Amino acid sequence: MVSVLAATSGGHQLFDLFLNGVILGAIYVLLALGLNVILGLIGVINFAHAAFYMLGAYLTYSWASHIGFLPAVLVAAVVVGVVGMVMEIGVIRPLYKRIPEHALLATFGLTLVAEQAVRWHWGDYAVNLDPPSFLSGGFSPGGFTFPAYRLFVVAATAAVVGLVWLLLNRTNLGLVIRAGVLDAEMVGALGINVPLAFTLTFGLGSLLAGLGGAMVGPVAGIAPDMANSIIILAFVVVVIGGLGSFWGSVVGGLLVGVVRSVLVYWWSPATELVPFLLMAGLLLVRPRGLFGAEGVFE
Amino acid sequence: MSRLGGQVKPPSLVRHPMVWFGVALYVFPYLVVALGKSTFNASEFLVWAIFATGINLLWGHTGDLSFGHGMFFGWGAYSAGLMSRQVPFVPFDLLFGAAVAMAVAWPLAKIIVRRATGIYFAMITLAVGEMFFFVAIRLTSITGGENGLGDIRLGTFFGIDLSSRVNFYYLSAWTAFIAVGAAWFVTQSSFGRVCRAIQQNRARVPFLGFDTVRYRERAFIISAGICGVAGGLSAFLLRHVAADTLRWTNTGAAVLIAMLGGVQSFFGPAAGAVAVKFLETTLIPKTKFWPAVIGLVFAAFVLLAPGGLAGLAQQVRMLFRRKPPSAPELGERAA
Repeated sequence: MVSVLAATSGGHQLFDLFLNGVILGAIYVLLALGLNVILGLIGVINFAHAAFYMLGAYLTYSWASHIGFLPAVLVAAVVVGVVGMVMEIGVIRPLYKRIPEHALLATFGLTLVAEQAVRWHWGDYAVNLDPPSFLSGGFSPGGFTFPAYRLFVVAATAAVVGLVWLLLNRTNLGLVIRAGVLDAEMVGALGINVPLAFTLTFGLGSLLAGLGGAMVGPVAGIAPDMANSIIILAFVVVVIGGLGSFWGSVVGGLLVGVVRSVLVYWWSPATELVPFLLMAGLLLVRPRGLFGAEGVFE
Repeated sequence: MSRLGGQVKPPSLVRHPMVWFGVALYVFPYLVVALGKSTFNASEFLVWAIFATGINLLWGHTGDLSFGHGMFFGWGAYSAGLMSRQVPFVPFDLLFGAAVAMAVAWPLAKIIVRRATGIYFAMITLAVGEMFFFVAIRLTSITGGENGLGDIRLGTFFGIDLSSRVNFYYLSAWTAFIAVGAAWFVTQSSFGRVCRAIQQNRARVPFLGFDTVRYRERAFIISAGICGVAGGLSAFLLRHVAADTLRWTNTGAAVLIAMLGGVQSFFGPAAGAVAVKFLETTLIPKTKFWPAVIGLVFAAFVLLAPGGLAGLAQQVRMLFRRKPPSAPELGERAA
């Protein structure tokens, strides 16, 4: 594909857009994967997910100058994961027995609080975070530019996706979580602490959102309205990929990121509209999204 | 307080809830002014009361939670505002706004309702609403883009000057009476009963021979029309339409207002709208972080009082009652 693009007149520009799309896509993947893990395994849709993403970004911004960029990213992600677990215990757990819409509404209320809290502590204006010095350079083989930081985001995302997959599919914790989804009562009867497994799952999903936010700072900037604008995209990615589908989120995130970015070359309003058109078109053909299974959440 | 299901005989005219609603609309502005707000605020509260009632017509009755009804509010607002430049006669413009909202809702209902329920439904309606928001800010020549739509003409109503705040309140009150009355009529009809049945048990209703999809589609379209009226009224009240009204944050607020009022009761959402907007207008001058307070109130209600204000009122009434509650009432509370 790269050579095809290079042959056209705007080849370099298109390639830049494509690479940008992959970076955006990687962030969407992290965000949507966290959302989808929580949704698919616990059956809760977490509106506050993007608030966690924003929190991750701001914490990294605050800590990067003290403890270095990479440690700040990791610590921010873990802290966001812990915040997620606290929220699960305090707000989500009492709502498991109700209809799923109630968790959606409660977390929506909390996003209002989160945005104001960020404005109160970090101010109303956007802040800038530079990539660390060892990632600020880039390579340019054959005239194509690969900024090092962007490659780092893609590599880190790929590694995290792999780890999460292994965690859910190859460990006992993953087994307990997946069994707990099918029949929480029976798993509990086997002496396994199901609520704890759910809390950990929620923490994992939040951690992914926090990680996405922690890494997005040097790429897209940090502002108090960043949560509002991205949560819809995360939903769209989840719907495109299929509710509860792990690989659906990965493919959907990259697809939305790349299409959104590359189409700007021909038609700039595409940035905003294309994810929705993609979703609408796909739903007409495949109502459950790309990889959605029949009977999930219906 | 009326209950939506299981009413055996029609209420007599004097005790008819809509009569009480009319009386309340008459007294309402005096109360609002006595509590330190303006007549403008009274009209504003009514806009949200209509909006929340419209959303609840779908959510409280069929169980479909739409997170995209802000788009119908927005469609109503833009169409009524644009039409007022051609025909500066408010009732006509409001009807036009409602008609456009319903016309937009019709194909959407056909596409979405059959395919999605539950949280899937909420997410898809949310995404569609957001899509219209982006369309609205791009179509600058028609909608004014991010600056919003201005130049909305109020005109006169058979010689009555609507630019006076008091006269405008009467317009709002009549609009609310008619729109909420229409919603009441719908919920009390056999159509409304089937919708209630769908909300309570979606799997069983088809066995009674009802096509649930058709009922849900129609409820979607009717509720879109009522939200369109609310949007049109807000356009005339503010003399401006902001593209942000189409966004999910607006819909989310309206949905939570409905929940806070009580989705199981017909007038609950309207009461919730008045309560929340009253709190909001009180908070705005005091702190710029007012959305945080509203958010906490919302979350607290979802967690602690899912029946909303109406549910709380019901519980209080139960305390002061001697005879034990009848079986249907108990079932209702459990639901």
